Amino acid sequence: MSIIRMLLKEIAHRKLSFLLGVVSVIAAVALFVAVLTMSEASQRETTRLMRDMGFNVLIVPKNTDMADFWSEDFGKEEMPEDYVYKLANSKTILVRHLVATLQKKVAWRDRKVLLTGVLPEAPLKGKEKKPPMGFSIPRGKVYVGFELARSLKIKEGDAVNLLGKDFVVERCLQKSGSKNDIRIYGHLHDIQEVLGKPGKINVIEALECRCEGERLPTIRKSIAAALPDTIVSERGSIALARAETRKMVEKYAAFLIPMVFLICAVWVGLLALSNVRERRQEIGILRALGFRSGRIAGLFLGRSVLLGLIGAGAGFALGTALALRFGPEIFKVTSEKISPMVSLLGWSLIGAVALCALAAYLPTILAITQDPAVTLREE
Amino acid sequence: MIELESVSKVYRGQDGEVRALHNVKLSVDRGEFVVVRGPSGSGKSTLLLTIGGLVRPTHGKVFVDRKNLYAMSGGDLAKFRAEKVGFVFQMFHLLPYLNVLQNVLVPTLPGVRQTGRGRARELLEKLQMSDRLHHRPSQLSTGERQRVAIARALLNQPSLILADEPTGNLDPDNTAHVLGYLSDFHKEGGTVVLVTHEKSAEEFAQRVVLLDAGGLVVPGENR
Repeated sequence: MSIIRMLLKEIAHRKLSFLLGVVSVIAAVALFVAVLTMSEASQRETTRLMRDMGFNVLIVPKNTDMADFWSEDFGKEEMPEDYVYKLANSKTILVRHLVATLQKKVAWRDRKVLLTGVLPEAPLKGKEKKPPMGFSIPRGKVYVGFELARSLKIKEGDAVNLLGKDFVVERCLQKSGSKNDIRIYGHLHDIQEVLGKPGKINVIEALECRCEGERLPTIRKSIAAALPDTIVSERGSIALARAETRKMVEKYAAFLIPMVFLICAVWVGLLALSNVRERRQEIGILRALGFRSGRIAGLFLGRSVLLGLIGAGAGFALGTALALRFGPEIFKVTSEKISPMVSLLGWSLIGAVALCALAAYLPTILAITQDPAVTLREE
Repeated sequence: MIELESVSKVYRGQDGEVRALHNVKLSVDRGEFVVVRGPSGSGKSTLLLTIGGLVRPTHGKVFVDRKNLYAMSGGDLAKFRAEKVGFVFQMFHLLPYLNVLQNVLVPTLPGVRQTGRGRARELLEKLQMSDRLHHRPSQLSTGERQRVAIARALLNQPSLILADEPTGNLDPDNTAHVLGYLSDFHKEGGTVVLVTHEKSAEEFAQRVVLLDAGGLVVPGENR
């Protein structure tokens, strides 16, 4: 008779014991999947919020008047465009996104507009590639702020002339309720050309995704070392909000998941031990019938592996359902942001099977080393 | 067929040492039916399990078909048990989650699954269990359980049956049936070593061996 058939028959016979094991694996995997799914959603939501609120580290020329800067959202002083490449190529700078801009308030069609040249985000050397945060505007195209587009009746596809150079309106932006509504964005090199400031920028905006308040001095120090004639400043509240969210997620993940997995492993191990004890006479007779140790081990380890597989599959489904149901409330994210993480199914299967096999390892060793002379004489 | 050379077995437990076998010398010829008798705790079961390759003696050697059992690897010893030996126990030791037919098929050797099925049905028919093929052990009487255990022991056509008090839990009718099945096996050329308190078993035996406190008292003479 095949081991698999015996295994399935035994499981059907001792359903309760097997079910108790499956339930514990489901609980562990469901928690793992739910927390990770929700925290991933929370991370995406935080990133979105941060993007909406803007970059959280500012690098401006050293002689910039910060009072002017905060009142206008840009400074009049300029620095070489090369600075952004220097930062991008540095392995020691602790930032994740870098966007260089050149901004100037100009008169256009009887209005004051903020002409903003944006350099498409350069990939950071030696760092994980992230989706770009800033606009990536093609040469010869512009994006027009909501208020300008509305009041001047500008539509996408219109041709406009900016200080003597022709552009095509690629996008009319949504209302932002900020100075961005009176901006015209173009490629940095186009705007440098129309403003007559080739190779110049006046601010580098950066995002340090994992920054917390106390890390700013480190960031400031590393940037100052690379660009000595700049000032590094931070939008404090944004960094703080981000840090709070991340700390909460990390606290959940770092404590709950290992704890539940440990409890699950102990529980599965105890169930396996109880199974071995209950079946010691069976082990003895299987030996007498000529079963090798490997086949007997297969009966016990196979049971645990099956338990892990079923528990992981069901736990993944339950964890995902829990994340979708309770995630928006717990993590304060919009429900559309939470989506099933299929990649976690693979990890759940591997992890649960390994955990169950490990938990059943000692009981299995006990099973195959039991003295049949003792067990076969028990009544 | 079986040769025990000065076999001793000492169990070491928390309460000290227990000497189960002491310097036992025994020969059993091929096709012989030997009954082993002795008081409780005299080492009868240990002797049987030692011959079956399940209990390694502390001292001495056990030869079956001229092979030194305990010089074999674990895998070879398992193969020896599967192919050459059929065990029958007082407590039957059927697997509770399998039905009668499946219990008989548990020791099926690799590569003979189909023929094993046919043979299992034949044996169960011979042992008058054909109408119980799909019953679980818990649904059988003690006599029926022992018949299933005998069918399981015979499945791989062993040359040796080692039976440890197989009638200990049975009524006189079933006792007679079980002894009859063992006798049939013997008549077909098989070797039987039967541990029992049952006096009637001696009718079938060619030799009765007495064990006393682990020592072989009377090696027995052919009857």
